[in-house]
Amino acid sequence: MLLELFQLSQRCLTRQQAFPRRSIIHFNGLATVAADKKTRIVASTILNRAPILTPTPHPFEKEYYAYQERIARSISSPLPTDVYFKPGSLLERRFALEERQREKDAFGQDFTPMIGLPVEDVGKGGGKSLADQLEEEAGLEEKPQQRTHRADVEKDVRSLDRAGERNLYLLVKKDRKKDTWKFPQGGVEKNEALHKAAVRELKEECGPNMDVWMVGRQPIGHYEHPYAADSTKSEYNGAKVYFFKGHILAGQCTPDDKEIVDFAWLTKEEIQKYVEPHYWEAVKDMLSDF
Amino acid sequence: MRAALYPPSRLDRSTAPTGLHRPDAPAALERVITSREAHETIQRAWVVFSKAKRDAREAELKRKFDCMKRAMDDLEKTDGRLYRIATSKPDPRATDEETQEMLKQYRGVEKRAMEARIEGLFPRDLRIPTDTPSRDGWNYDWKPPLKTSEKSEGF
Amino acid sequence: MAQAARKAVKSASKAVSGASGSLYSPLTYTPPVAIKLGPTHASRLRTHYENSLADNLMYLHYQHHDANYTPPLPPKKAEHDPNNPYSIGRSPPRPRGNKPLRPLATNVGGRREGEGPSAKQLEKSITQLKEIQLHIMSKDALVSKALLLAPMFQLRAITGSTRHEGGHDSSLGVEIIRGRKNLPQWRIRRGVPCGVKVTLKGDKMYELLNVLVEFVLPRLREWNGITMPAPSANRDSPSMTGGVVSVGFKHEAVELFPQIEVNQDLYPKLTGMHVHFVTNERGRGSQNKARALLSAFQIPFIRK
Repeated sequence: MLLELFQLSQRCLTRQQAFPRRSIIHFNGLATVAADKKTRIVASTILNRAPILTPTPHPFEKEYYAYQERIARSISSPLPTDVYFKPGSLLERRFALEERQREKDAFGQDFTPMIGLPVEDVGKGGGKSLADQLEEEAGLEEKPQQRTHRADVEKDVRSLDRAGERNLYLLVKKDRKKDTWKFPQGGVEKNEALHKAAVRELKEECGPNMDVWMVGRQPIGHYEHPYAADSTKSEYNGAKVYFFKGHILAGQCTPDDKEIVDFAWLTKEEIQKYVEPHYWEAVKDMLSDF
Repeated sequence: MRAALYPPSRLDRSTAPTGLHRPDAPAALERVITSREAHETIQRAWVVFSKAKRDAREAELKRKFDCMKRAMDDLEKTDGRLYRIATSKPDPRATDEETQEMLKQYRGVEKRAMEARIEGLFPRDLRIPTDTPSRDGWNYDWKPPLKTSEKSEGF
Repeated sequence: MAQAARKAVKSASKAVSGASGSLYSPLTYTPPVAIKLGPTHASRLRTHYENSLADNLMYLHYQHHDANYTPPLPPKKAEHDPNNPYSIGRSPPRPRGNKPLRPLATNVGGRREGEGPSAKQLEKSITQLKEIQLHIMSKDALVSKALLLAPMFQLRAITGSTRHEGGHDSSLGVEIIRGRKNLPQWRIRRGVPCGVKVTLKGDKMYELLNVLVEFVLPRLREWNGITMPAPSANRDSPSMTGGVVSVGFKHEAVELFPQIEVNQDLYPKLTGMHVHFVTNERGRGSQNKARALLSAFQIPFIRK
C-alpha cells in the first residue's frame, strides 16, 4: 500500500505538463459539460387523459365471474329479510321477486330454493299489482349513460370523451413538411427547472385552459437527435428532448395558430400512424398499451 | 346477537364469529359444480389467463422504468443543476418558499383551490373510472383560477 | 352489498338443524371439491391501481443514484466476543448510540444497482396497499366480555368478513384482541379481552376502501381530510418509517356505512374505530409514499 502511494506520487511529479489545458478548466465534479458541443435541451410534455370507464371484461372473465358468483351463492347464508326490510313493504316484495329469479338463473328453472323468502300473496284487495308499481318506479329512476359516446361514432379525435376505456395522449401539429405531429415541446430557459419548462411550453403552445397535473419532477424518457446542417437553429448541432408525464383533469387544448395549427387526442396505436418512424421508436415505450 | 355471531351448529371452536351455509347447500353445490374435472379445468384456465395479464402489465412497467432510467442517466451526464432538481423529492407535509410566494397571489376560493394541490400527492380531480360516464361528460369549460391582481373591481 | 350482507349477518332462526327437517349436518358434510372462492366481479379500485396508478407512483418515487453510489448498510450490531476476557461474565453490549434499529428505505426497482430489476421485482417494489385493519377498543369490555358483541357485530356488518371465508385460510374474520400487559391505570390485564379487529386483504380490502371513499368520507361533517404530521416531526420515528397511514373515525362516521345505515336499529351501540392502511413501503419516507398512494384513491389530506 505504501509502495503504491510512493509510485503514484512519482508518476504525478513527472507528468506535470501532460494534462491538456482545456479539461482542467472544465472539470467540475460529477457532471461535466463538454465545451465544444452545443446541444439544445428541450422539455416535452406527454399529456395523458386517463381512462374514464372501467375496461370491458373479456368473455372468459365474464363467464368466470358468473361461475364464482353461483358458487358463492350456494355456500352463503340467505339474507334475513325481516331484518333488512319492513314486512309487507314494496321493497321487500320486489327483493323477493328478484331473488327468486336470481336463484332460478343460478341453479336451474326446476330448483326450489330453501332460503325463506316471503311468499307473494296474490289477490290483495285494493291497490295496484306489484308489476304495475315496479313499472312506475322504473320510469322514475335515472337511466345510466351509454359507454359509447357520440365522439366514438363520429371519430372526433379532438374530443376528450372519445375512447373512455383507453389512455389518450395529446399530439400537436406544427406547420411544416417534416416531423409535423409531435408532443408539445420547447426549449429550457436559463435557471429554469426541466419540469417547469415542460409546463410553461405546454401552456404557451396549447393555451391556459387546461387543468394539468405533472407527475413528479423526473423525465420519463429522452430522445437525442442531431439537427440537419441547414437547420434554422444554427448555434446548436442537435437537441436532447426530455419527456415529462402530465395528466389533464379538465379543460381543452386551444392551439395558438402560430406554432401549433392543430391537435388530437390519440391512443397508442393511432399515434404510430401520425408520427415519423424515428420519433415513434423513441416514444413508444413511454406510452401505455391500454 | 350472540346466537347470530356464534350459531350453535358451527364447525370450529375458535373465538372468531363465523358464518353459516344455507340449508340446501349440498343440492345447490351439486347444480353448480358438475364435476371435479370441470371445476379444476376452469380454475387452471383462470390462473393461466390472469398470469398472461399480469406478465403483460409487468413487462410494460419494466419498459417504462428502463426508459426513465436511461433518461436520468443521460441527464446526469448532461447538466448537473437540472439533474439535482429532477432528483429532489418534495415533502408533501411542508410548502417550500416558491409555492408560498405563488400562493400569496391568490385569495379566498382560488387560494383554497391552489392549496389543495399538494406536490407529492395525487389531485382529487383524477377520478376513478366508472362503468358508465357522467351525464355532463368532460368539462371543456375549465378556466384557470384568477389571481387577485387579475380580478376586476366589484367582486 | 346484498351478498356481503348475506355472508355477514346470520339469523339464529335459520339454523341448519331446524326448519323443514334436517337436510344435512355441516359437521359431517364434505363438498365435492375443496372450494376456494375466486373473484365474483372485477375490482374497480384494483383495476384503477393496475392501469393508472402504478406507473405514476413509479415515476413519483423512483430515486436515481449516481454511478458510484453504494446503498447504506444496516447499522452494525454490537458484537459479543466470547474469547475476550473482558466479556466473560458480562452481558452482550447494547447497540452503539442506543438508537433502536429502523427498517431500511425501499426504492422503486429494488436496491440492487447491477443489471436492474426484473419485471416482477419492479412490480413488487412499487407502492401497493397490502391490507386494511379496522380496530375497536372497548373500555366497557374490560368489565364484561359480553359487551364485546356489539363492536363485533358492527365490524362484521361493515366488512362482511368471516373466518376462513370462501375456503381462504388467510382470512381470520373478526378477531378478539386481548391485553398484552398488566396496566392498572387503564384497568387492562394480561389475557383479558379488550377490543376487536379485522384485517382485510385483496378484493375485500378494495371494496371497503371504495365504500369509505364514496359513501362515508364525503358525508362526514366538519372533516376535510386526514391531517399530515408537521414537517418538523422526526422522520425516523416508528410511525414515519412503517409505511402505515392511520386515521380514527367517531361513531357518526360509522353510521354512514350503507350496511349499517339501512337498519340502524339493529346496532344498539355504535362505537368509533381506527382504520390502518398498511402498504408495502418501509424505511425513511415510507409514510409519505403511503399518503401518495391513498391520495390517488381520493382520500383527502390536509396540512397541519
